[in-house]
Amino acid sequence: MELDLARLHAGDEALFTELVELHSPRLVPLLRRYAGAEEQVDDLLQEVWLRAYDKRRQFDGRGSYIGWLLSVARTVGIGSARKRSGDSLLADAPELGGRFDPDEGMLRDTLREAVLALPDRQRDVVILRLVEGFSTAETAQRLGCAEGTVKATLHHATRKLRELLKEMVR
Amino acid sequence: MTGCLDTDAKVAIGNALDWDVQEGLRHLEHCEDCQTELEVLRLARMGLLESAPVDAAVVRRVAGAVRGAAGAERQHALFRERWMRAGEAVVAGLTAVIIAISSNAPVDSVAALLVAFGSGAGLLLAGRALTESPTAPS
Repeated sequence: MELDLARLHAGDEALFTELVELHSPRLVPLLRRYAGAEEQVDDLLQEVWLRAYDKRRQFDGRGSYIGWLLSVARTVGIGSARKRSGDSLLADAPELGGRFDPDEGMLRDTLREAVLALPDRQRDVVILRLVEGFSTAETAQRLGCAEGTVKATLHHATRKLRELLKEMVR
Repeated sequence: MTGCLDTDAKVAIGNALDWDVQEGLRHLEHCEDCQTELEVLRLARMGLLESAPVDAAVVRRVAGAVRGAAGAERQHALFRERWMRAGEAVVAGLTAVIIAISSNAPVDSVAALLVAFGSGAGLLLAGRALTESPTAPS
């Protein structure tokens, strides 16, 4: 779905209804990591969409909308987990430098977190290239930079993710 | 042969490896660094693509909440605009009073001041009504 930025910025209700239907399934696995209980996931989902509506003009259309949305979800999730005391699921997240044998699901979750925690430009490049399937040239055009910049940014981002993985499985 | 890559995939691999495919694949087969990096990218991609079904009732509830927020935002904007217009009318009225006083017009009574004020504010409101009417030339 090609996003109509003018309608998004205008807060078009029909567009937002479509976006909620389309993207909510992608937000739920991330929110589950932050929710204290399964029942809270729906509330967090609603909070994410209200925040996304409120901050809609901050999305400039260059990066990936789902990437931006996942970042909003991460911020909301972290805020929610911080509010809860004692039962934060963040405590279950693998800590850097810890010794354990992570399964693939945990590695996936952690790497998703790590991508969303990257600086905006690196996150946009990773998501456009890996998830949206854009070529280097298409990504460069969309972000308004040179192809070499896209390659270098992807390289740096991958290095960071790799370091993280190395720490985890050490 | 089953499991063959389709032509698109072969072209993509060829392009990505600058058509030095055998050398590229040989390197990948033996280089632990590259294998790790590829695995990191694969896992990150899978994590980002992960999805879970959302109940239709939840989607309706969330969409309704967003519509509610949109409505509240519109109301707020309307309220702000009305107050802005009222403020502008007051400023126009005061400006008219100041002009009347500074031009030595006979404004020696409260009634005369009110007339000057009303004229200024009225002119602004009338001008706005004319320019914003649907038949006004754009």
